[in-house]
Amino acid sequence: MLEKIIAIIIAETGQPGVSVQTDLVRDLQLNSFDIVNIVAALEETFDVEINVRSIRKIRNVKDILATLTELGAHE
Amino acid sequence: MKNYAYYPADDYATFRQFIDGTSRRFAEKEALVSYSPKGERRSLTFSQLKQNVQALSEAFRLALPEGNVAIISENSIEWLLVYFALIISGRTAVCIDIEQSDDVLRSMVMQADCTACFLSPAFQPVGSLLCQENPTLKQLILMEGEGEFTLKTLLKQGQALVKRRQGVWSFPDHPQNFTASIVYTSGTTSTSKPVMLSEVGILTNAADSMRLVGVGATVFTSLPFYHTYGLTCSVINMLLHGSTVGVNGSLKTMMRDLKAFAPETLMAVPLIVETLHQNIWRTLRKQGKEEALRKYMKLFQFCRKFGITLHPAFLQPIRDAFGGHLSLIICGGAHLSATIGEEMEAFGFQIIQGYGITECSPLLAVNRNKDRRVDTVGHVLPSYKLKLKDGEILVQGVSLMQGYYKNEELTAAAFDEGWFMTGDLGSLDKNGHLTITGRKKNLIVFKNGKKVSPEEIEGYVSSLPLIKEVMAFGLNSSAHADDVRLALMVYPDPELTAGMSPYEILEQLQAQIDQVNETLPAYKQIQMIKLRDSEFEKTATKKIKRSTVLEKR
Repeated sequence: MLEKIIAIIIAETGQPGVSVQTDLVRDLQLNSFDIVNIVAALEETFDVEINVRSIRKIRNVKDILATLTELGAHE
Repeated sequence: MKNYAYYPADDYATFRQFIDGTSRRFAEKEALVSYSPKGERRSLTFSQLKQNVQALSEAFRLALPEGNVAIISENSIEWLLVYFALIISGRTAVCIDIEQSDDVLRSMVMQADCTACFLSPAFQPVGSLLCQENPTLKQLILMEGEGEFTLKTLLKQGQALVKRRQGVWSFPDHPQNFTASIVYTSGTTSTSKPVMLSEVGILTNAADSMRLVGVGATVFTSLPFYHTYGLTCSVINMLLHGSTVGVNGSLKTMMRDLKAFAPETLMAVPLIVETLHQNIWRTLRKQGKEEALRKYMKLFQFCRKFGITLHPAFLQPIRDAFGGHLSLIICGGAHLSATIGEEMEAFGFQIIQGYGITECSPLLAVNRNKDRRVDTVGHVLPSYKLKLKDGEILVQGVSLMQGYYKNEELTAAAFDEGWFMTGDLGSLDKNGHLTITGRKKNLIVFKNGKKVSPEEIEGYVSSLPLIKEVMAFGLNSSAHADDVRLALMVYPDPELTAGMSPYEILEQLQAQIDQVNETLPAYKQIQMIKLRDSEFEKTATKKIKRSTVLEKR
């Protein structure tokens, strides 16, 4: 699942070098718009709904992985 | 064209008059449209809006405790129904900023002495905590789902009551100076300030905005309703005008909903306009039309001097991506760069910028369709008197706040002999255009209109062990003056960091700040740390001389 998440982030941001530790705001300099675009792509790929409170808690790639796992997402 | 006549706009003193009046005038026209997460369209006509609001008002009178009632929810048609019905039923609507942490949400509800709280599904976990710790809070109402205390049940009860009374209201309207809303705004301390706004103040502000700006028959908004800009300037004023408002509940579906709704007017903050601007350039670059666009930009600037507007065919697909009818973008909340504003005009979208602050309900000045300049915030609203004192913008008017909730001291400090001190510096030209030239308060303003006080951020980090002194500031991250990131300038404790390299200090500080960031909403998170090797220069009262530090940076 991690590879797919990273691929989505790279596709949405055009920034290479994303890893599980990457911080979306500090490392990739993303704004709230960029983050919701990534979330929308994740929702479509993994067929889950990530609500507004969960989006708020997402800071890095590891958080995305944890959120998707919690929601029972599968590839 | 200068100083042309105001557009007509109806004045209403209360929300009941507003709901009755707009229902009579615009009856079967669509008032509100929204889309489900799956994209299904839903709408209410002005008549249905009145029926729903009246039914809920009647139900709230019977089922809800009196006092202040919080709304904790994403944007939705239900958010608006609850808001209008609360005020009409004699409750004050407390509009909660949903981007805050659970702790801050709870403190806002407690600080405003809320007796009841409306919650969308995403906020139900916060709701159960609220009831345990807050004896004033007597009722939680769910905005979705079935059950005794849900919006659906209350609506049914209210509809039965209205039917029995054959549509006649069962209670009298309240006096016009009723406190309609409590809205939180950024303070210069760690807590936000609860601003009390009157019913007549909000409605006058909405009507005034329509006197200055001509808008389309369809208006799309994704601005949060818990901010006065989103509520007064993108919903209440548009309904007052008779426009159909497309309500976007999530940024995730913004572009999809925008295209489906196909509005003539878009309400925005600079972040939205800049994102659309970037997308347009990216699309044309991919299509190999970048060079053609650059040539067109030059031609556009030249033709504009002679009042000639161009509509080249190669830009039509761009307009189609926004539904094909979009011609006007109204932008507020923060300053939009003049370059982006001008380029958006060249793409065929008229840009109108305005200026307001929460305490003013919020609009103070706005450009006009036929008299607009992207480098100014336009003309002062007719219901406001404005004067400049030592460069600071001071205002008086019916839409001014009634004060900060239960804080007379803070309220008194915001006024100078009856004039409200905005904290913004400005200048007026001979044609009446207001320009914002700076800021007296130390607020950092982001492109999405969010504001953060540096003192608040400093309060979160000043007790971290390695920090001796700290100053938060907005660090410019691009050529645009308002493209700022939240940064810290830190003077590390020399004793605790003796023998450590700057890299080691930064690494340890970063780990501690990461923990602080976890408790903060995204826009308040600290994105950069800079170290300095000496204490900050201070004023006589031992405050850091912020401007000196920023100049030397």
